Amino acid sequence: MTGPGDLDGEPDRLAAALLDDEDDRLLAEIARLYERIDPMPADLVDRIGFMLTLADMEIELARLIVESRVPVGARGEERARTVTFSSDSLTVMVTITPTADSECRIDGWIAPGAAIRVELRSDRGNHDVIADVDGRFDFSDVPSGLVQLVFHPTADVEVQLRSPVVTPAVQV
Amino acid sequence: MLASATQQVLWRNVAKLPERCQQLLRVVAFAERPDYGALSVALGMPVGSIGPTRGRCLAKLRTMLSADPEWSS
Repeated sequence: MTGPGDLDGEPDRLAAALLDDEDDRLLAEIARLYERIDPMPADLVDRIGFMLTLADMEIELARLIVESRVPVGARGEERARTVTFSSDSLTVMVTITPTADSECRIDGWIAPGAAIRVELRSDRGNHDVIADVDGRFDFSDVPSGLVQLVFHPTADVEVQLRSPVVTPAVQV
Repeated sequence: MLASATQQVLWRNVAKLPERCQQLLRVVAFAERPDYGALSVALGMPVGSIGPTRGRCLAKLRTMLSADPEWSS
């Protein structure tokens, strides 16, 4: 089998061209093929859709490195989740605490700390906050669903990002 | 059982691709295309400077299919 690096000139040119109608037909056929032989989980496309959109921009992708659940409240029934993301430029620890029905609060801490602009993206829209100088930020009343954080290059702060840092989509 | 001869030929060729390509094509086939017009407005970039290229996996599949005498599409 030929590896991706072993293609000669013609496939290279084919690969660099924009998608055309025949690609669309082929992809539709591939979708039908996989629907038939192996349907995929319902939310996978949503997750990947985020990523594909972002892949077309200049971004730095943060990886999810740790996820844990800790009991909160006296009865310990509600569980907060702590999720840590890491990229070359930043590490971000995020705590997601359920509040009202189908809502939660997100507390984050960026390291190294700086007053970076943080964007929360979800299918309900996007929302911006500025972290404090220690890199702490929060979003309240976040509806349940897939969300994603984007850390934007921000002028005149101690940590200068070269490109936005984006987390994978997580379910809150 | 695959529905049609077309799908059988397609599957036979897809199965010859590297595993990574198979996964990628599967994901791309189901993902909704980003709205490149809206994206370019949001980013302040001219349309055409961003856009989906075919990529090596799809290019390889098309090359294989065009060499397969049983493929007619």
